[in-house]
Amino acid sequence: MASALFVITLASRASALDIGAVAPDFHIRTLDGQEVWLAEAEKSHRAIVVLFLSTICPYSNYYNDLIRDMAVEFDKKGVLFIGINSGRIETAEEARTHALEHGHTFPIAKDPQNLVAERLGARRTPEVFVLDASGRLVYHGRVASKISSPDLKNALDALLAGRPVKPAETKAFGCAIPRG
Amino acid sequence: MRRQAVSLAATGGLVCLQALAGSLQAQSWLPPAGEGYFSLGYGNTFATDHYLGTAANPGDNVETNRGHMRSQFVTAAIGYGITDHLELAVGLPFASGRWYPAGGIGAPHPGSNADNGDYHGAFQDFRIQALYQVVREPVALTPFVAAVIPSHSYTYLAHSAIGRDLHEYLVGVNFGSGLDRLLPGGYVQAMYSYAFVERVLDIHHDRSNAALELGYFVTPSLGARFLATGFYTHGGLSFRQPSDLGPGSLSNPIFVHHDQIGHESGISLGGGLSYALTGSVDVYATYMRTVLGHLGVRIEHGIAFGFSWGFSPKQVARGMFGPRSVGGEPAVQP
Repeated sequence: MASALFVITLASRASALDIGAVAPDFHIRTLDGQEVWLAEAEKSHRAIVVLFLSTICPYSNYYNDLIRDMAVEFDKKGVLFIGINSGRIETAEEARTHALEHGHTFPIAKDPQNLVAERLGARRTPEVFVLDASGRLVYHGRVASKISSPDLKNALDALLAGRPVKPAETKAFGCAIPRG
Repeated sequence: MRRQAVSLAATGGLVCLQALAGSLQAQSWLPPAGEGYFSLGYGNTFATDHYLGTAANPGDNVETNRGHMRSQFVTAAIGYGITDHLELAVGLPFASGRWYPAGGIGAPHPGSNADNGDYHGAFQDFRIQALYQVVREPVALTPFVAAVIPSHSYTYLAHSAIGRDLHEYLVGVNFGSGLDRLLPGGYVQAMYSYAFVERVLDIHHDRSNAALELGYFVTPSLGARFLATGFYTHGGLSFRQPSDLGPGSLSNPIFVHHDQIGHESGISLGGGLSYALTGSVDVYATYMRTVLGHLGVRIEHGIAFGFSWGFSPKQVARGMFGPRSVGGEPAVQP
């Protein structure tokens, strides 16, 4: 498991990221102590999925299995999933245990001061940001709609196939990322 | 998903309109385990005609002016996802009704103090419901049981009555599916229920209720929907003109209870919009009108609007009382 304690280093703060904009670089230390630099990860992967997750948000937990399966499936296709647990109402230990229980083997980091959330403009859990190999945001929004569309999967399939991602933006619904 | 527009409770405003018809809206998708919601809606219906003939033109589908009725509802509901497949919900409307002669036509129900042209309001019926989603894909299949329990004994003999003051126990099923293969962003859901209705004068008058919803997400936040609801009374009291009921007096039990046990049926059509203000708050508005009926009243215009708020009680509690230190992590340097 690459989950773990987190720490991040951000170059500067910014407002919500627009589709097509280059994501600001950040550096995280995962719950199990790995160092991950976004810019370095982009060089070695075809896409990066930054997922804002929670251990106690019902909507985030609803997608636990889907996220686990997608992370495994798309890892084989050169896509790196990075989980971010923002805020201070969940502990690093809880995040670690949650990742173990649900088979989330991708890197996960605590973001207690919401620096990554602020930088990307994340407001909800679950909320997804898909970056291409050049670090540009190509999809932002929900993991999937319960009614029908698997939006994240569709976005990754399109990106890997060289097609435009449509829709590039959906409404993320779920729990508010606690601020303060 | 939840308010992801088909909004469990975002359609709760329909309860207001359908309270008159005794039907429910379709609800195929449930909130995830641990998710709660609160909804508050306002409804306003305007009924211009009775489906009831006259001596010169008898018939239970004849539209006649017997005065106008306006009803207003404020409905509060809460629901909670016990598991990803099981939801419990309860709602209670406060209803207020008014009847008045239209163009000098129409008379109050004999013996009723409520039909005096003023609004008369009271809490109506508790609606308690449990839904269990058996299958999620490719078609969501969600049976349910529900109980309609009058909050108190209220006036039912009046044009302006807020309800029928009857206990009902419902069993039903919802079906729902996305329509992405036909129409990306579209969905359909439908409901059928059978209501075992409290007998009156030992007359059997159970009901079948049905609802159909065709929806389309214009944008990820904005949903539009076509709505159809209908109900049919199995059994009940059939009559084609007021004189069929016998004397219009309180000594005539058939007359006293005719609004409760009529062999009524009806179909209403309409549409609505919902908008996700945030990831946890939706607002909605709907419009419906009755297009076909037997006995009962014809709703000329029915509007409803309101909001629903989804929340995680656990997260709320954590936010208030939970740990402020997440433990062990090095300081973050922006």
